[in-house]
Order: sequence, then structure tokens, then C-alpha cells
Amino acid sequence: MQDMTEKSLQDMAEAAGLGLAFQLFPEDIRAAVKQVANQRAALRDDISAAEEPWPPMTIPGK
Amino acid sequence: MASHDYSREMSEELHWLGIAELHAAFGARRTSPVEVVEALLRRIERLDEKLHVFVTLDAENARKAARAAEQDIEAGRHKGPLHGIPIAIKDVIDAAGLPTTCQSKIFEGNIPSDDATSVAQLRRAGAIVLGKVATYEFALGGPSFDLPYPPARNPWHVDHSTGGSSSGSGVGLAAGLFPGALGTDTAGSVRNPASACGIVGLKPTYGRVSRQGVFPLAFTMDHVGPMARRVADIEHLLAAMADRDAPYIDAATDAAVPHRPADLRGKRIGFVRHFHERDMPADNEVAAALELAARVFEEAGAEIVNVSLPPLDAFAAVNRIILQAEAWAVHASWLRTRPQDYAKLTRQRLLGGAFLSAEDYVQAQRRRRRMIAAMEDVFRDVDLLLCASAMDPPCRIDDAEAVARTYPRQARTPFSVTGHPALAMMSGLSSASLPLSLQLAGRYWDEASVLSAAAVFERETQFYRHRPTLE
Repeated sequence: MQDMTEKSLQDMAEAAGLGLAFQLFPEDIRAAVKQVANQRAALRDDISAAEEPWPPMTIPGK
Repeated sequence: MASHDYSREMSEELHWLGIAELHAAFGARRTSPVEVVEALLRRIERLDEKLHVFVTLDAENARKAARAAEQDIEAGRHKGPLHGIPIAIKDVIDAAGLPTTCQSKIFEGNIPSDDATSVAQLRRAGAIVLGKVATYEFALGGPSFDLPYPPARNPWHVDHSTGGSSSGSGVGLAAGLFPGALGTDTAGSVRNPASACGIVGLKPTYGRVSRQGVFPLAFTMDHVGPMARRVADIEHLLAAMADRDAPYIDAATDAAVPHRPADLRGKRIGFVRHFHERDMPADNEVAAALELAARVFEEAGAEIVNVSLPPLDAFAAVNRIILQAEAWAVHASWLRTRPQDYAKLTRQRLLGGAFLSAEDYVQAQRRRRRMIAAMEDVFRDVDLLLCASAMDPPCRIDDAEAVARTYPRQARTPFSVTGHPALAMMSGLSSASLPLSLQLAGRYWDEASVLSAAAVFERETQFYRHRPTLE
């Protein structure tokens, strides 16, 4: 995160359609990117490639 | 109702009566819906200037509904315990003809033509909608001071945080502005203000109460929940809103039974101590109140056992990723074109969703499934869980650093992620006269056991008798 340049932040924001938000609130974009990186880091356990997500895939009434 | 007889003393205390007490008073002709609505409107007029509870007060329609309820009750057409009871609706939930602002500039001029299903159910049961009350913007950002609407203020200390996002519901109840309210809860937003304001808030089982007509925050974790000062009142509100097709304990839908104040003999309560001792060490007074609560439950006949769940930070991370991913899908177009129309805190919390990947979302949902399995394992061994709600008493509302530090220090997200029913209530007062809180959670669809345990705690401790000094 510390290495992220203003240009790469802008590229990320524009790719998400947030060019205006970056123009007006660059510090919010930076905080959001940092926050997401921290959230990923908080998920430490391994997940197997075939594990199914929630909700269980069931057909109603079965 | 012109002939009914009630004392001046009763009239002065009407604002503190709960739903069950008002129902009994209406039945005994000690007061009437018109009398109660007028008393509450007068109190709102006196206090709301400093509490900022109401976004939209619908006094005239409330008066009209009160007159109709009074005539029905007089004529013997009594619909049940909610008939003639004034309630307030969090301003992310639609009530026909009243603005749903979500406390945001984005929704200025948004006036729904229909009630949300939960509001329609409450009106059918005879409840009177007083108006729409404060929320953090879109049930997420807050407390924010850069919106057209001021944040609600904690009646225990008006310079302290109310918790959110159902802030107006919690404040109005604690201040005696109404006896019942609706909130919504995606990451704890019913239970947070219940904790900070010293009232009772229930997040029912996911799917128990309809979300139709509620502006979404995160579809797979959004819940509508009842809030009140007393446990029995929560039960009345829930009974009116519960999905009749879902499994539910019969007695809980029996309007004649306010609650089952039985003892807890034979119940096993799992105490999740590691949440507040290891994962997020709680304030000393919060921790002491939890130990006291465990003793109260033990003395009422329950067996208290220590149980272990995944750590709070893992639940919180899953909750945040799912919430931000789903909320981004809701808000993306406005964040792209009108980012300046959000409060700063809301914008900061929502923008993260733009930078999450499909992999992040699916991985979080995979972990969610594991967490549900872990919770279900624990519920095979115990009937209920006892744990912290907030790790700290409310902080000052104008201290942004304290708000940011204490906001995530809570144990509510586990049940937001898993969808189990969970209730927050007062567990005492701090040395600074601010509410402390606890949380009870139960098996899927077993709100009845949660409410029974809460009723026992309420009966044994009588903490609900504490009231803020406002006048």
C-alpha cells in the first residue's frame, strides 16, 4: 500500500468508474483501497478450491 | 372515550408506559390512544429539538389513527396488543406517503406510495405510525455532521454517541418518545443503539421478518428488527411481523401472552468469554456486568458453560467484505455520479466495495458457511449464547477518533454473518451513568428462548427502571 502511487490509485479508481470521486475525494479512494487490503489480510485460513460458498445451493421445496 | 377516567398522575407518566402496559390500560379504560398520542406529541415537541429523533413527524395522521383506534376499542373491536400503540419507523423503511430519506441527500424527494410489509403488518395489528426516525445515512455511515439531518443524540448524555444505525429508534425509546420502534440490522444496527441507549433490540433470524420495502444495505445480511424498552413489547412487535410460514413457537404468536417469565432450569447457556476477554478486551465495567449477568442466569436455573467460536476479527472481516460488496452493487451508480452527495463517513465505508474482487466475495461467503457450521456445532450443545454486545460504554459523539476506535469493538457481527437471532439489552449503568449491555443469541427460529431468557434477566435485575434525566 505504501508503494501505491497517485497514478496507480487514479487508474484503479477510473477502472471502477470512480474518476469523479477520485477527482473530488482522492483521500477517500486511498483509504478505501487500504481498508480492502486490510480486510483481505484478516482472512487467514485456507480455503480449498472446491469448497462451496453460502448460501447452500438448494431447490426450494426439495 | 370522552367518559373514561384516568388520573393526572397517570397522564404525566404515559410516555414511560410500554406496549403491554398501554394495552392493559386501554382495556381497563384508564387511558386511550388519543390521550397517549397527545402526550407523546407534547413530549416530542419539548425534547426533540435536542435529541434529533424525528426526520418526519406525522402528527396529524397519528392523531387521526388514534381517534379511529379509540372508537374501535370503545366499540369492542379490539385488534390485540398493538391496537392504538404509537410506534416509530427507521427512515430506511417505507411508510406510505411519508418520505424515506435514508437520511441522505441522494433520496431527497423520495416518497413511497406503499408501506413496507413490516409496517403494513404493524398497522394491520392496530399500531399507529408517529413518523420516521433518524438513521445513519443508508444505515451505514455515521454519526455524520455533514448531512442535511443532524445525528440523533443519546438521552443519557446528549454529547455521547447513540450507536447506529437505528439511532432514532434507540434514542426515542430511551427518551420516552414512543413505546415501540422498527430498526434494521446488517452488522448490528438494531443491537448497537439498543446497547448505547439502554433499551432492548432484537435482530430476528434472517428471513423471519420481511425486508420488502426496506432500502437494502447488504441483501444477505439485512434484517428488520423490533426495538422497545421492555422484552414483552419486543415479543408483541415480533409476533405481528413474523412470517407466518416460518416455523415459530406457538406461544410467541399468542398475543395474550406477553412473555414467559419462567425460570431457566434445564437450559444450557454458552458464555462466549473469549469475545470480550481475548479477541477484543472489553472495558472493565462491561466485563464485570457480563459476569454479573452470567450469575443472574445461573441463579435462575441455567447451566453456564464456556464455549468457543471463531475469533471476532474473522467474523468482522467476513461481515465487512460481504457488506461492502453487496452495498457497492446498490450504490455504484450514485458513487460514480454523485459522490459529493454522500456524507464523508458513508462514502468512505461504501467505496471499499469498488476494490473488492469476485474472488473476495466468494471467499467471504465460503468462510461464512464455515462460520455457520461452527455456530451450529455450538448450538448442538447449548440452548443459548451469552456474550458482549458493545465492548465499551458510548463515547462522545463529537470525538471522531473515539467513534472510529469503538465502532468496530463489538460482538454483534457473528450473528449478522450467521443469521441467528440475537438480542441486546441493558446490563447496568457505568460509573458515568451510561448504559452497559449484553447480548443473547439463540438457535435459528428460536426467538422465543432468547426472549424468555431476556425476560428473566429483566425481571431479576429491573435495569429497565433506570431512565435518563431529560427535563
